[in-house]
Amino acid sequence: MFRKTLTGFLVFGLFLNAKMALAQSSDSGDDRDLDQIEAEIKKNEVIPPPASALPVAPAKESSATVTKETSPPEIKVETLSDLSKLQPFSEISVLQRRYMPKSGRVQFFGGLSDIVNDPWNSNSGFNLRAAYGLTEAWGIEVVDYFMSSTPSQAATNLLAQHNVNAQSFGVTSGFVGGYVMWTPIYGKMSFSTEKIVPFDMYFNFGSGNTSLSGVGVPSSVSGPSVGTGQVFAITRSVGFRWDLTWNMYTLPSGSTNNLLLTFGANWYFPEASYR
Amino acid sequence: MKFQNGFISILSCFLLVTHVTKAHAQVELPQEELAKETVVPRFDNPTTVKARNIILNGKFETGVYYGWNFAEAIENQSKMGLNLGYHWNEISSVFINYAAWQAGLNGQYTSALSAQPYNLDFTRAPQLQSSLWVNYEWNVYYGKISITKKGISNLTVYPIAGGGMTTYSNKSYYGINAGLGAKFYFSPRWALRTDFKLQYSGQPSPFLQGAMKTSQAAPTPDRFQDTSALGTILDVGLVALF
Repeated sequence: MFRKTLTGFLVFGLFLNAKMALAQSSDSGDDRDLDQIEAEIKKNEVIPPPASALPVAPAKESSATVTKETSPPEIKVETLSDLSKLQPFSEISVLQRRYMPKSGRVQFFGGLSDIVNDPWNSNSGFNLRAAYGLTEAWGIEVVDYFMSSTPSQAATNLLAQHNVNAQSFGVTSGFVGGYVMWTPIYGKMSFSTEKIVPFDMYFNFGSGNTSLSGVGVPSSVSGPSVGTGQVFAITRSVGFRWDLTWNMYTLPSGSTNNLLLTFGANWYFPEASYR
Repeated sequence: MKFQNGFISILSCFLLVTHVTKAHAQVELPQEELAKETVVPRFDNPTTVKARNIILNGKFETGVYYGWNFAEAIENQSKMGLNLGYHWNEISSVFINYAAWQAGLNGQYTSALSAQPYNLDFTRAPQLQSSLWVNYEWNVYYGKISITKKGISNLTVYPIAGGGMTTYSNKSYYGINAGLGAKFYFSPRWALRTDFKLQYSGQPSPFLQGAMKTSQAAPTPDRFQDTSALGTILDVGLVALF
């Protein structure tokens, strides 16, 4: 008796299992997805108007209409490069994903700088920066410039001809500042249609302290500072960067400013998460 | 009996196997075995730009701009000018750049030098008047930018190189310049243009011992010595293609 009952249960279990095995690809979630897909197809489906509503085309135009409605020539795909012929691109690569993300990553920058608006000195040096990306568009940055100067030809002539020391206008020896970094522009650029380089363009707003040397000028002075620049991605963690920073401050002789042009490289840490 | 025992055994094994198989019907691969990067096919002849929004080939371009020579110590640093150029293909173009320099001096420094105790009057030096340059522009970079994710604009970046002349009140001097420019396009016709150039050009030296103080006799222009200087030029303007 027991064996008969056990056999009955086993047979019942066999049929139940078979039914579930055949339905392995179906569950309520998949049914919902299929329904959604079908709904999308129906939504985008173009339903032709009834034949009675169509105007009757004259005989002369029928051949032209037939000509226009012929399907485009079929493209044979024989190699991988033929894939590029399938979809008619109307634009270069669309800006769908950022190649070099900044959110939650630390940036370090090192580069060479030059003050381009000091007519009395040739000022050049190093620039070090550290930044943190709060979001893709906003970040904070601290900068430090180390500058070295030599008198220009104009300063040499002014001293030689008129015994006037141009050092009295002040010589910038350094700058330390902090910024809010806004990166509203993301782009991609092609080099002679051979390679695409993603880049970011940013704007800095902040202030800092300029170190000065010279006759009759203070040793340091504070003032606002703004800047702009671009970072061209080389890899996901390294980029080439140029920066133009404008520092403004006031001396006893009046308001003055420094325009610093910097070229260098940016490093991003930690490694970007893959997509 | 033996048949029943065997049948039950086979049935039990079958049920056990199907249950195990069913339990593993939905295979989940560990995260580290999944593909981590999207891979695009490598084409034999890659072409990154399929269709341009901005067509330069065979077009004329003109525009006006405002500019500065930040390295000018004595003369006025500001100028206004216009550009006129022709693109003979998508990459190469030639431009004529004319600038009218603002009258006066660089007040940031000449004000202090004209005051006590220096009393130097640099209006006695030959005045900077105008300049005319012919530049080649290599439109090798073309791209587009997303502005705050709400708009897309095209841009071109181009190296510039050329030569020209700068005219002072007494004579003209030759010079060369080179730099980099960028154009941000609002439409296929209009663009904001910014050029940054280094300019090495001749000029009269404004420093002349014994002739620049207000108490001294004014010199003739030919007494000022010719020299050369490196300037840093920034031009910002609006251009149109037609």
